[in-house]
Amino acid sequence: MRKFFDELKHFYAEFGFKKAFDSCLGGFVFSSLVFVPVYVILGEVLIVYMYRVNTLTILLITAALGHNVLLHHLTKKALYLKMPDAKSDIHKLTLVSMIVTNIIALAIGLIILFVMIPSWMV
Amino acid sequence: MNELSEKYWVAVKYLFIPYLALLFILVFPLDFLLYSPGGLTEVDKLIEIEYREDKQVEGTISTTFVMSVPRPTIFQFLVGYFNEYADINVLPVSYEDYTNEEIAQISYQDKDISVSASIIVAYETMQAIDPAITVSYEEKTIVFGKSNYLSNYDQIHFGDAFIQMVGEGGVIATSIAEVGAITVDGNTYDFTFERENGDIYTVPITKNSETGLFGMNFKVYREVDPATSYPIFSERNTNVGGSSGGLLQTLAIYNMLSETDITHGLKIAGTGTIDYAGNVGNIGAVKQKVLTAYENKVDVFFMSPDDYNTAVNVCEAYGIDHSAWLVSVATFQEALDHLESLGDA
Repeated sequence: MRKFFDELKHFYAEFGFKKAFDSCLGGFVFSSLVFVPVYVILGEVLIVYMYRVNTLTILLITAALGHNVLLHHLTKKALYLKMPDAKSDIHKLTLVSMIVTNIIALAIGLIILFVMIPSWMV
Repeated sequence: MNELSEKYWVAVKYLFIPYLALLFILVFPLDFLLYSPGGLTEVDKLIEIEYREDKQVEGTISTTFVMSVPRPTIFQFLVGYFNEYADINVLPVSYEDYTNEEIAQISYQDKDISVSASIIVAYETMQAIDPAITVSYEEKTIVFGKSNYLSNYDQIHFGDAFIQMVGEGGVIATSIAEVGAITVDGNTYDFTFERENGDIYTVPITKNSETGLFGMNFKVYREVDPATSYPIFSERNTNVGGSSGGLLQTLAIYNMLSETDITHGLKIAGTGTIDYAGNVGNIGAVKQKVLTAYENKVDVFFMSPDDYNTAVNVCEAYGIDHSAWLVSVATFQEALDHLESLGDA
């Protein structure tokens, strides 16, 4: 854990807030361009196939996890493009961030699936 | 971000037009009405009654909802077209003047009226067995439809209760039936309404000279007064509209009031409106409701005799054996008798 935070500090020292933020923004915008239509498609299919609500919610959760993976992949790519000879371990940092955010997204998805959907169906 | 834009510029350039075309397919609405199967809603999640709370209920009583999608997008239309359980119809003329939001408001209004009717029928039926139960209500006339020529359209909301109208010569009408006799085409009159939150307002409305109408539809219903009814009940906000849950709501409320469990451990569902005399009325989208029940593996599915034949045809078309679970009932009492007979068996 400590090693990870040291790596993070080193990363910010090397890139600075502006470059790191710009890479994340790029990753978010480009991954969203791909996944927003996916969410809309699944949402519209869900409305027509409401009797398969659980299956489609699982697909939506999977799409959210895929979105997160693509977001991190593109952020990593943008960082490498900004500084090809960077000394920070960008791969490790984005991988850890991706795993943590995917676990959070999965937990939220399971709450939606097992708690919120049954209470909405009233 | 610039680095990514440069790297993927070629892909962005070539995919831009197909991307816009995809978005168009996903958002452009068509003037159709799409019905597809929905799900079951357990009534005790919608209505709670503080009575016999220690009673063990082994089965469930659920209303059946279907997905009604007014003005589906091109994509939804295509998905619905290839869904063998879905039906796509041209948008009814009565829906053409309304936005999707207004259609939903009318539907929720219908649900409220239906819950009120269910409470009245269940409480009054149970009153004969348990005199402690009382129900009191008042009759209300509410706005249930609006035409596009209605004056002050936005000021008048669906569900606003009619209080009075000042007609020719200052004659006051307190019933909607009296309005026609004291008004003249082309003139404007002051109508007074009460909103659901109790606010009272007066609005001038012109009687259209072409149609000879004011441009409003009204519905008369009985609103239960929870303060003077016993036992106390509470109703949760619902995401499901329409009046087709009437019979099942009545059965569930009756079960909450009854000393015995009328479910006998069964998964009970159904569809059909209920009137104040306890008669079961027919509904729309029978096909989707029966298929919803089938998908949810219900043990008993009640419906009105008018809808029963359609339901049987649907089951036969899809190769579903309906003999064990599809039950035709004309009244609430018939549904109770059927459940009682299942208990005896």
